[in-house]
Amino acid sequence: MHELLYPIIVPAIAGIIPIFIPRKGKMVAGIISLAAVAWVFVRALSLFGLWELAYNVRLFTIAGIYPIDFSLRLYHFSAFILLFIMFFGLLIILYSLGFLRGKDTSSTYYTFILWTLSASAGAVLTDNLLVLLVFWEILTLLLYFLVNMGGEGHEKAAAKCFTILGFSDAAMLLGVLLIWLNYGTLSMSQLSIATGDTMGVIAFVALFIGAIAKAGAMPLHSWVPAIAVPTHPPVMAFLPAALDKLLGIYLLARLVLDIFIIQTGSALSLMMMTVGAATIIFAVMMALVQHNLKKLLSFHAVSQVGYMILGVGSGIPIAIIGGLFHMLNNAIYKGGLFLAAGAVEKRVGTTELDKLGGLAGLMPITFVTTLIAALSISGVPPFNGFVSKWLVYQGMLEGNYMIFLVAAIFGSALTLASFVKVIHSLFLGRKPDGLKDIKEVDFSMQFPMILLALLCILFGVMARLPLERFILPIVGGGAVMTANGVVETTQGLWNPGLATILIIIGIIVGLVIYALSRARTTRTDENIWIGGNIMDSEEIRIPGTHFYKTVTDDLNPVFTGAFRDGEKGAMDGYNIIGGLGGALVKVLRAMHDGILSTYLSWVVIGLGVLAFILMFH
Amino acid sequence: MLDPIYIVYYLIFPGFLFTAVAGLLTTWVDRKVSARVQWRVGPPWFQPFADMIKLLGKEVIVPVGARRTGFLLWPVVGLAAATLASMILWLSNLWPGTSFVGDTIVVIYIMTIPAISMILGASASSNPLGIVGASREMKLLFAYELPLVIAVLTTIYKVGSFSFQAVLAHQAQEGVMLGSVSGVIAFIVAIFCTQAKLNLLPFDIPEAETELAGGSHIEYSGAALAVVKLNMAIMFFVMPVFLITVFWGGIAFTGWHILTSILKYVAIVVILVLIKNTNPRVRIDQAVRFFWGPMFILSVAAMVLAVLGY
Repeated sequence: MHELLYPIIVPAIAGIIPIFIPRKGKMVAGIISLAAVAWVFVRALSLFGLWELAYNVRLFTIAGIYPIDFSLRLYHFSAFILLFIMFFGLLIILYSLGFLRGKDTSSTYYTFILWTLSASAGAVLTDNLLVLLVFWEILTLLLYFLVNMGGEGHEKAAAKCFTILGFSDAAMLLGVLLIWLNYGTLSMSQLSIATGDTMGVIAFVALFIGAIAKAGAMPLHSWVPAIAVPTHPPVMAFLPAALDKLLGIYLLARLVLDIFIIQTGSALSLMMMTVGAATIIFAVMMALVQHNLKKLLSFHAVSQVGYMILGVGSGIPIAIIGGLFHMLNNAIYKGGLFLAAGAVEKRVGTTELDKLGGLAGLMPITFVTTLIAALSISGVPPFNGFVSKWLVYQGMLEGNYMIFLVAAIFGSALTLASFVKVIHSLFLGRKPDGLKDIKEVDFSMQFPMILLALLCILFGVMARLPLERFILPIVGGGAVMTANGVVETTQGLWNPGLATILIIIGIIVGLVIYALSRARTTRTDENIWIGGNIMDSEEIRIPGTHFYKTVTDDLNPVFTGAFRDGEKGAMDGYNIIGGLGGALVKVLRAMHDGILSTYLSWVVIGLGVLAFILMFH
Repeated sequence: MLDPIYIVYYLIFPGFLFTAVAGLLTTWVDRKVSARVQWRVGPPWFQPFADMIKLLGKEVIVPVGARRTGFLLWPVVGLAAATLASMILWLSNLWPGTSFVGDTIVVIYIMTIPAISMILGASASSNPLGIVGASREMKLLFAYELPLVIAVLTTIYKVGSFSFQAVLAHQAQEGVMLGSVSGVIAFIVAIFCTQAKLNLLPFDIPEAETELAGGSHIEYSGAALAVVKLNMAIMFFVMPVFLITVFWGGIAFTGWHILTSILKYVAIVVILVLIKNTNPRVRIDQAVRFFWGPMFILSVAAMVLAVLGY
């Protein structure tokens, strides 16, 4: 079998096994899946070392002139994405072993995870747009199944997710057909379409819709928050947080870099950047007012896509590098955050922020990994999120897009605010009286979180490693220099290694101050001071959901309106179209009154109209 | 990767030791000027140092229900970050031909770490007054961050680069930013944002001694309080230097430039202290409205003027 077929076929076949394993033996199913994915991961590692590999089979030819090829092409970009798809698959399956224990979930969970991996590998490796589309739709279907395995309210969420992604797949189909008819080929590596004419623009926008709906950018974002609450957290960490970002932004980057010719500063580029900047700001504002951890994280999953689209859409090399690096970083820290949400849900049984607090001492590993991931997503140096955002900023300055630059930086401040709320509500603050016997989760669940947190640090402090290995070869060097561990562009520089060492030295200095003073022996028998009052613990508990009330409630009526509508879903195309559909159904229902004579008269009227048209046409 | 000389820079000059001494002297200027405004004599110059030494000898109390490690560690993290910001700024000013560690964006981000560590420290104290202070600090942070960033970006737009090297070179060749209309407007906005960043009146909302009894650092005592105070002193020193670097041609150490540099610095500190002494505290929603309203509009005006070439 050809080397490139393994990542697609092995998970697909291994995925059949769990179907035959009963619910009780799902641990066995999980371990089999883990072994299969581990094997593919090692394969993907060796594939990553290869530079260029192709595989081609002619499937059939339509009408003798339109050939359909099942063609795969491995090159640097697809090998890098493939590697991380398998990496996340491995972590999620490992995590699920612990998470699903004691839950009434069928073994086919692993089937869907494995098939998702298989379809993702196919979507990344293929060189044919039609084959890509087929894999893309398989992914949509599998996501529908996975969401449906979740808790209360999964049916509606899965339907919404399927509708929006189905719509975007239809748009992609339109784009693919336009390209096929107008340019005669579906091979991604042979296409190079100018976007000067209407046909090129329509084809581009159609495929762009497919890419951003998968990645979850506004205005096609609303499936992500919709599925956030009922779906199992590992599925959220797997698909919307990691894989869908990798795939959606991979497709977007292929569109911008290979398939279409996008001029920097052209209307299409500005359109993409506007989508990106608007997504950053609106989604993060929505996240600020959420009361449920999973929903809050899902809005951040939307908001972060904005940076990637802003970077990739600008067409400026530094910004593209930043956008792609942000795609990788986001998959890492957002995956970690959703896994932490899963750990909290597993142990406490809820992710409502109001009911949580003071978990830091009870779940120390979860606390530290969440803190690292939260600081990373907020763009605090020296973690990984800072480097990629910083690169996007550099690109924005190079293109003189000051509005987008301000939006990106401001969005980052609001992200920080949102995660301060999360850290306070979950881990710090006061413990609600109900939370007593909470234990840290099993090691199989801790390990993926620890690994992702370590990657947040590694990719931040030694940013040159991922940049040189994965990102720079995609765009071609020159825009970003990485000599001696310093990330340097023509407009700025950032030396994360040195900064980290200096900050650590500073922390040591502070600890020396403590050691030399009387802080060696602290007294811990005093109560907190609240103006001399003594009050119940529950009375003085301030949940983080109260943090921004002054801003969201009575500050600016415009903002308040936006928040309220956003929560109800007025900004959500799915609801608007759903409303129109409902109105149509009402009209149709009014016509169907069940009285025979009414139907008969409709038939007669219809005949009359037909006869009229036929006679006078 | 690490040249040992950087450790000397970081620990002695222009890093920790120098910044701490200069920061404490700045708080003395603050106290002295405030005293004169209020017709008092004010403390002698060594008073802040005496306060520090006294605090280091006091007992440290970690209240019941607080998260001990985080509570004590966060102020130290803030101290380390503030020192790093100071070092980057000073090295860039001392050797204007080269850039160190990071650029403007890096420094803006590093300067938010002391605020974040204050918030997390207060949150770890589990005191409701401290937590109210922490939430106000966060709101204040995202309120002033928007106009501050736009104000700084007016300079960056004119220079076309984030690096301090380019910012200083541009001002050396074509005159300081304060020489243009947009530069003056941006500078005014940045002064008010600095006021909020340093938690000075009228924006001392997170601490609010008379209302929250110290707010975000209500539970700190002894050496931990000393570190918190040192942190604030260092930020009081770093922010004016940042403003001078971005808007006022930087600090130079040749000939009579030494004198003008010190004068620039003292001028900014005195402006901050005078605003502090002549304004009562505003509420947090008023502050957010102030920064997202008038200050935002002013900063955008500065940006538009900069784009138009004024």
